Amino acid sequence: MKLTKFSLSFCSLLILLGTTLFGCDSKQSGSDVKSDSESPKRIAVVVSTLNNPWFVVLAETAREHAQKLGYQATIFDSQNDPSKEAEHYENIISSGYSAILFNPTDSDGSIANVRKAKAMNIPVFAMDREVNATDAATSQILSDSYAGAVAIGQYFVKEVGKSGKYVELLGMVGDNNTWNRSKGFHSVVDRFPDLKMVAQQSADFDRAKALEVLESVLQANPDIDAVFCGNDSMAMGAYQALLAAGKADHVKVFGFDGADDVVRLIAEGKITATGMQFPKVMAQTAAESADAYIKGKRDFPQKIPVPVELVTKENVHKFGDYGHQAVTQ
Amino acid sequence: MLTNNSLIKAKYLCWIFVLACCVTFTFVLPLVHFESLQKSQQIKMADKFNVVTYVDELWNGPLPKVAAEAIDAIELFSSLRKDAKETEKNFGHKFGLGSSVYYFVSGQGKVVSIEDDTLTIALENDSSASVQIELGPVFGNAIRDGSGLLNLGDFSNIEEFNAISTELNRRVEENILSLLTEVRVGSELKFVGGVEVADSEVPSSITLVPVDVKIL
Repeated sequence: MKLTKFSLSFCSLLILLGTTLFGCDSKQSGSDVKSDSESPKRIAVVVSTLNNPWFVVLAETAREHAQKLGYQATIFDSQNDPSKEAEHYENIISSGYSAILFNPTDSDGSIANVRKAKAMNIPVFAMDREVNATDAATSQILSDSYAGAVAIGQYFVKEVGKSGKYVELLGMVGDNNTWNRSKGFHSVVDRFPDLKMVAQQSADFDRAKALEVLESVLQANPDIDAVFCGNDSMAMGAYQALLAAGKADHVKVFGFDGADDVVRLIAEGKITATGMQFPKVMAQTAAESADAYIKGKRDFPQKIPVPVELVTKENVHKFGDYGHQAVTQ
Repeated sequence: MLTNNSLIKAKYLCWIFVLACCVTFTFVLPLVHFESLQKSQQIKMADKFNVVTYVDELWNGPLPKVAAEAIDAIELFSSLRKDAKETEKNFGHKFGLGSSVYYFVSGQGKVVSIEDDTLTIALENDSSASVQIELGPVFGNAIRDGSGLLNLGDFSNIEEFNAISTELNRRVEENILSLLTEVRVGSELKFVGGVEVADSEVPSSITLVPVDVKIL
């Protein structure tokens, strides 16, 4: 009896070791997964967060375009949490998706997830943000927040002048884009020592929080000339605060993203400028690249930058809902 | 016939064997690898992109060749007026899916104004076009992207790529703009540098970030 028990335990241990070390032979080619002839192949859209309207546009455009191309597409919300993102990847890899359209939560931390998908022959197309590796994603369609903020900084100096007081509203402090935009802006504005930043506070990319933060800042600093906001939601909140304080006519507001409501207020002369990112272009390009991959194409540029474009009253007529006018027609 | 003692011995020997296998395997293929923080940081520092060295090699290597082959400013304006798309195809560079087009442009002309830190040069034989050089801090990617030499895909991340522009611009401020302190209205100037033109635009004036200037 004891010997039998021992044999069973020993065999169990060997099997456990074997599966741990070598894994199950589940290596299926993602793109070769045979779909039932009646059900289309599936594309996963993994987005960093849906708690921000810009990312909602990115994710929904990616899903809609993938569907238009004939795929079933599902959005996975990582909620700005790398571990949640990793869970999504495990789920996607084991569920036989053919491609991933990916908006990373962390440019270093997300590399491992992309490599896991690559090892299972599932191509990953990064959108908006990059992963810091050139041998992981099949292609990366990137927005350049830093350069976009440099352009805003230059226009800021042109409009506000080389002296004055301003406030900066930052996005989420744990978000790379917050600091890319702030650094880009300051790389210009800090070259003009008479332009003084009287306050710099985070409003978490949130409109309501920006309203609250700027109202509070205005109590200590009532005579500011401008506000630079790390995204358009905060720009809207800042504008509301200035309206309520009776200062909207002479305090210039600058945003970042290219949201429709801000573009409209730029056309009306109420907000000074924003940086148009192109979530729809990035999402569509990613979906089309995934489609091309599934149909056999393999040579993709590792990085496809989508520059952020300055939107001002001079050129606002060229822009529409998160893109150039032509995109929205 | 196996005795109880033999069975117990065999059992222990099996366990020792299994343990030895595990230890050997873990040693050969460790599941976790420990490395001192200092060593890790040293490796990262060694791999870190050295933008000053990179731009130094670019500035003294392929960039002068690009400058020597730059399109003449008068030809650029004329070509843009005729067919902007064709001009872009033959002489321009785009950065990814952006709409701006970048060129490397050379030319010669007379300084007609110096105002608000901007120097305006009227071109010979083309009174409708002018070139401007900003004398203050330099920003943007006109040299990096106008040269057509660099590909974002060759760099680990976009930060490195942007750092190249920052360093190129710093060199322009330090080495090139300082040559223009003696320029006055009426001075004849030869120039070459990068230019950004908005998509589908036929400008009457272009802003040049110079990699070389000469007062004639």
